[in-house]
Amino acid sequence: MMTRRSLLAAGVAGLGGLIACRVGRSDIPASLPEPPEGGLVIRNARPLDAESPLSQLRSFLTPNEDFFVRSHFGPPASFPAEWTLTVDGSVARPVTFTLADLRKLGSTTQVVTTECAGNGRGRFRLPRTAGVQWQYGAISTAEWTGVPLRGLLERAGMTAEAQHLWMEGLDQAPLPAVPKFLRSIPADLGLSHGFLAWEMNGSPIPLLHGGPLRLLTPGWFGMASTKWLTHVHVRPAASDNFFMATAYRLADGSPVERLRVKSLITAPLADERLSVGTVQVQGQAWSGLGAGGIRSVELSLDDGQTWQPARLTGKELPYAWRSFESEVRITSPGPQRLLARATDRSGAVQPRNAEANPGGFANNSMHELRFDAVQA
Amino acid sequence: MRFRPEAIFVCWIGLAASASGCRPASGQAAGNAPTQAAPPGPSAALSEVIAQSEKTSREALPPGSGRALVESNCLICHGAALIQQQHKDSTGWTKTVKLMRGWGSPLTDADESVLVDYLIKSYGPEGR
Repeated sequence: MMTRRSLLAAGVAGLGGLIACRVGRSDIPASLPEPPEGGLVIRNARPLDAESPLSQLRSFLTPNEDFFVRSHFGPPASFPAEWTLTVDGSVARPVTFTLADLRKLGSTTQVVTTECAGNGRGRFRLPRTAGVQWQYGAISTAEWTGVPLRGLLERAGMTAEAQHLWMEGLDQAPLPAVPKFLRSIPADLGLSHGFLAWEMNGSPIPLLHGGPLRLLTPGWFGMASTKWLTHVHVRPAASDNFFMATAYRLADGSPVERLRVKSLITAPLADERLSVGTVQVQGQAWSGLGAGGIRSVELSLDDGQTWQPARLTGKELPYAWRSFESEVRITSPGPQRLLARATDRSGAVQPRNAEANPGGFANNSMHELRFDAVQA
Repeated sequence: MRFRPEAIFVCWIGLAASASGCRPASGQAAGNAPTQAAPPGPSAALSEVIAQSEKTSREALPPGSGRALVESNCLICHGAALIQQQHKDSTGWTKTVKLMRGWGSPLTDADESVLVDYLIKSYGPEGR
């Protein structure tokens, strides 16, 4: 029986083997070894869905050009002469802000790791799952400049019935009958964590990443970080939009919300040929728990029978991933399988195989990296 | 090649405006020149790869009576790659096609089964 790997390697990717390509390397199928030069891995051209190459996720901040790209309908078709954000609904004083108004509120920076809720969907084996078949790279980290949402909500004055914030962006589907992508978040979450950003890694937020203004909801999957934000509707109840009530649901019907503990090996890369001996390992680990969320990362070369701790390195910020590194000892040549697992501060351990769900969401299965060791 | 943000912006407008029902934002006519609020678009290199990817995936659609239906219905809203990376069974593809019809795909009743059969044959679960 052919495996998925052998199927692709044999070039039987006529079903869509050309669907995934990289900048400058448009002929590379999705699951073949990653070329060292990196570049976004395109899963779908329209609307653009593209993964970050793992080789470009070794740095704490992901460069804008390597940051994964995801939206349901692509960027807005056109832009107003002046961008505005309106806060209204269950508020005492509906208010509209221009970008200049927002900048006058001051600015701060916040580093946030954003992961698509479908990251890893392609690693599940589900016969009925729709959606982009993401592998490992629908995750990135950036430093965002903007203001906490709290100040705007306080300016508008939420009334006693205000419980949810419906976030509306300017994007829309080509056909009018398609539901608008609209997500709501609990008002308490918006007050405590909502962040409005207009810069990404020190530059105006690019079109593909939600510029000129987007929301960040740190600790939650990316669907809660609305791009091209124009309107905050303050409401007594959660939105009943398709993308709230039907989509983004787990197997038990509960909503997809907070990031799960997870880790990713960024070095070595899959299918590399390395010499027997000491191998340097790098990676990133994250959770949705905020400060100190990652307690430990461990590595295994014997299919999980024994584990060795990795060193947590670099910055520790509340909603950013934590870098790790280690050395592992390869004693004999041949195929190798390296596993990484993270544990968060609640004690939750990344599972070997996450429980599948019909939507293919929140796959935090351990990263299993295969490579070859050769005699030096 | 130097990146021109207005080029990709017009490209995005063209993609959206090519489908029926497109509504320009804020009262502007689709196709107008970008305004000062438009953020920087993707690099020229990425724009080229996106365009090539769209073309390549469309050309990779297998021949058959369902291919034209894919092109005239599904590709209104999204690229062929979104279809090609699925591996759905009969239930999955039927559900998807009915959902898309509910969302405005112009597919007729008579063509629905032809399209579903084509999708199962081309992108069924055995493709994994």
